[in-house]
Amino acid sequence: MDHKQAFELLPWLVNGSLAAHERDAVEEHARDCLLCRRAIKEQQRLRASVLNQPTVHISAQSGFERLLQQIDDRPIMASPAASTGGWAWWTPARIAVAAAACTAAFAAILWLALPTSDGLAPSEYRTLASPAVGASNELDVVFVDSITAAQIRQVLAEIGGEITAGPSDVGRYTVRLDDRTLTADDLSAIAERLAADPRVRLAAPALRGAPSQ
Amino acid sequence: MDERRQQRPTRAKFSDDASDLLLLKRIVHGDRDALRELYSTYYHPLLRFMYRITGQLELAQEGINDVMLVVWKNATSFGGRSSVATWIMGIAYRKALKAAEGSRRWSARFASVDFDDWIERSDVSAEPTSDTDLQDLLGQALGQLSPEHRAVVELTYFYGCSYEEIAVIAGCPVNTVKTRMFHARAKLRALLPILGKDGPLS
Repeated sequence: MDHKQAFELLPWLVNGSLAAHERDAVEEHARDCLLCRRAIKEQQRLRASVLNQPTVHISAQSGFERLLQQIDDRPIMASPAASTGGWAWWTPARIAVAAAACTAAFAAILWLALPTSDGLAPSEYRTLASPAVGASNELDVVFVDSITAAQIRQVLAEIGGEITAGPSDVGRYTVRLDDRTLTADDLSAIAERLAADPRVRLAAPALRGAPSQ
Repeated sequence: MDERRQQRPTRAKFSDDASDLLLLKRIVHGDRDALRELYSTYYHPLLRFMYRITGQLELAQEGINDVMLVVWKNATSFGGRSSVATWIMGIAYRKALKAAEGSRRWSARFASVDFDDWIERSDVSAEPTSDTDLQDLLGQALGQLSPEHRAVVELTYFYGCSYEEIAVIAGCPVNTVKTRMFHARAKLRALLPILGKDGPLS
């Protein structure tokens, strides 16, 4: 095996998926190749970093219920292509994303408004300052732009919550708090405290009902 | 870093093909409990994978249901030429690329950045001071790869896929997979010089 071939296969040597004959050939080459030995270390570091990348944990339950709804509401297409291409791609939520992008010129004024995927008519636009109509243990949160994934995890741990949806086009996350016994006042107090946190730009009781779970 | 662990890598397996097959057979007969089980098994792997490709949690969440809807409707067409996981990840790959493309088309936020220009302006190559910093820097660097390149890196290092499996998932020749990985490695090396340095990461 020449250097180019061996060098190309190093990621799969490192992840352990090479067939035995390829693994032996790459290892034999690497024994005498400083460049490949260095690259192996580099790939080991990369693999370790990728494996340690934070993973978002969101409850699968509401997603599955939406799937069942899709299955029941939509007729099963005879052709796979018919269901995956063309206009079928334009689900209501995707149309909402497109619509939100088209109205980007108004984003400076309306950036706090809910995206149209919330199903609200224009007259029903709400902002984080509007009275809450959501579940009693959910908050809408917009983090500061500079926040890291680790800091988001830390904020969530501090309030005992998990992200259940988002980010929306305006960077809004819906965060569900573990404590289901919270009153509206409790939730407002938590939101107020959170809004004062330098890692958070805006926080308020959720504007819409929780996904059914 | 535990060098011994690196010598004997383990695959990030999230499912068992035999039980996936049994579930798929039940799904063919319209068994929703089987669909629920398969959905639970694949939800987080798919969420991560599709989020990595699209860069948007909302698109990833929607994408999972698109994928599972295809599984529900097309379970009978699974030919067994690959594992169930490879089949499902292949569907997810195509859905995620389509969603990413749609998103790029409509949102200026995802306008492509000239790579060389980005390297000059970026602080990604700054020395990370902790593992958490490195994770953030790596996240940013991965964000600069094309969705196709990002998928190859993710499938190789997080999901432990062979290049043959990745070729099936991406629907391309194995040489294309190798080339994509080659270019992804070169870009990541340029963005994260720390990867090439000796010694522990933190």
